[in-house]
Amino acid sequence: MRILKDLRAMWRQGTPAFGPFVQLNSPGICEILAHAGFDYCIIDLEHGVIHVDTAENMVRASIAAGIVPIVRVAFNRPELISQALNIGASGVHIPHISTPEEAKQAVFASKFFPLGGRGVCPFVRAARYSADKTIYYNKANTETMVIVAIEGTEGIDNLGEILKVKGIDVIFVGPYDLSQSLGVPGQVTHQKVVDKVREIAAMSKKAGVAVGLFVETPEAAKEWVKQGVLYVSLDVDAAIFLKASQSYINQLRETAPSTTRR
Amino acid sequence: MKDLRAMMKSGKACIGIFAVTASPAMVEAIGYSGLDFVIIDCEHAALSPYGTELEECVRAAYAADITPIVRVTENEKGMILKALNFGAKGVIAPHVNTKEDAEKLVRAARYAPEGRRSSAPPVRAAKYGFTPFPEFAKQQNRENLVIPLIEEKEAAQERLSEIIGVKGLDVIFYGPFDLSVTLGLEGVCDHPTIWKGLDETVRLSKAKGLPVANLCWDIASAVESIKRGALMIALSVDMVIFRQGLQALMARVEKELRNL
Repeated sequence: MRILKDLRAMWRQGTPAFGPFVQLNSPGICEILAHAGFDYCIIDLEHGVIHVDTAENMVRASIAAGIVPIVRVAFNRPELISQALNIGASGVHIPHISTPEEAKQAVFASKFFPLGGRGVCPFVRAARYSADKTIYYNKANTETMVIVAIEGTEGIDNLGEILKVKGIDVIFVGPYDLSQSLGVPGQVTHQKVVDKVREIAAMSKKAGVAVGLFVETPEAAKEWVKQGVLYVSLDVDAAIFLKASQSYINQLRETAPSTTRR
Repeated sequence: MKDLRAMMKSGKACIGIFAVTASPAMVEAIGYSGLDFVIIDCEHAALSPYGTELEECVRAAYAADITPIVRVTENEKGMILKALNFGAKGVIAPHVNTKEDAEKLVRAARYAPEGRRSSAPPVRAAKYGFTPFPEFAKQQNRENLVIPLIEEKEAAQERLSEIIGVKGLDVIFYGPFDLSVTLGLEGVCDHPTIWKGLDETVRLSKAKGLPVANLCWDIASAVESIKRGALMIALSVDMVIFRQGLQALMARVEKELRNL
């Protein structure tokens, strides 16, 4: 079996990991991102149009090509977290965490006893269809990453308490939802938003928890890496494709203006 | 992923299984067993030789690091192209009965100058274009196994030598089941005529430097086949193994549970 990168080991060394969100429901996309050299991808079951059986094929594709598959679940629900981990996600990304209780629920659903109460089934893909029966539970508890997303002012207000919850590997900041809760919807570079992201990053770093952030350009990624962001979610598959397509068509229009006019 | 060509070259038999359940999960689970290869079957299984379902099965083999071979539905260039584009490390064409059939297979499976496989860089096997095409084409011609199935009376008894003589074949697959049916032996594979046919296939293939594959239903026939010179063993079929497991379980149910 292919050995995937150990993101936590990278973070311990201060090395950032890069991975886009995948919202198109194609296993091929995950493989392409791996071939391009990304460290991880986030198979997005919150905003992507992806059913769980397709998500399983996407996780499998990630492993086939050697990229760490993270699954973002639609809600902080134990049955959704269990499904994401059963299909073999290396980590689960849980949106909209606002209180320490919600964070505890997320960790509880992600880990087996004694760390939590994740649903037990050794016949799933993650347990290699029972080939790993004896080592599965310990291995899963050691390796499964829990990424908790703070996307609103309530979550920021409670961050100190949330950071005390054991078992969180990454505090992720969702700037779009955050901008909405700060009264500037969509303005992710607004000073209010930037200040809050800085605040979250500083607090998490101090608590020894890696910080994650969604960014849309390599320039923004560079800036935030300098400030200690380690789980750098660089753009979305659809947007990357859109930008590349636009660049192509613009080049075509420049070189052949008469034939490719709108 | 095991390099079957290298294994066989060093005289080591490689052992795999036919997967007819058309399920990526099953292909992956087979991969975790430690077998050397899996033959994903589009001839008899409910699996389209063209679409995403086949690609998912091939991808599952990569995930579990087992070498995937695809048996196409028939010896047809479009099917052979898809199987190889999806990433199969070899292709088996059923019912190859003539020299022309074998030439057709090679033509479809190999890039020019050895054949006329249709070319496209952004396919899964070429890492969606991340492998530059010239390198990809060379690698495909060098690594992929092109395998005709000898499984009819005429092919095995009359035209074997002309089929094996076709350039560009990598393994000669002996199909005892179909062969037995075309010989009127009704599926009895453990018949002297069938074993004799294997010996003849091994003899003629060896002379051309080609390894022979055989379908075996149990360990005993696999041992016998290897002793007779076969180097690639398809050891039964996932559905058959599942059925045997059920029968063993039900025998115990009948004996130990029904009388309670």
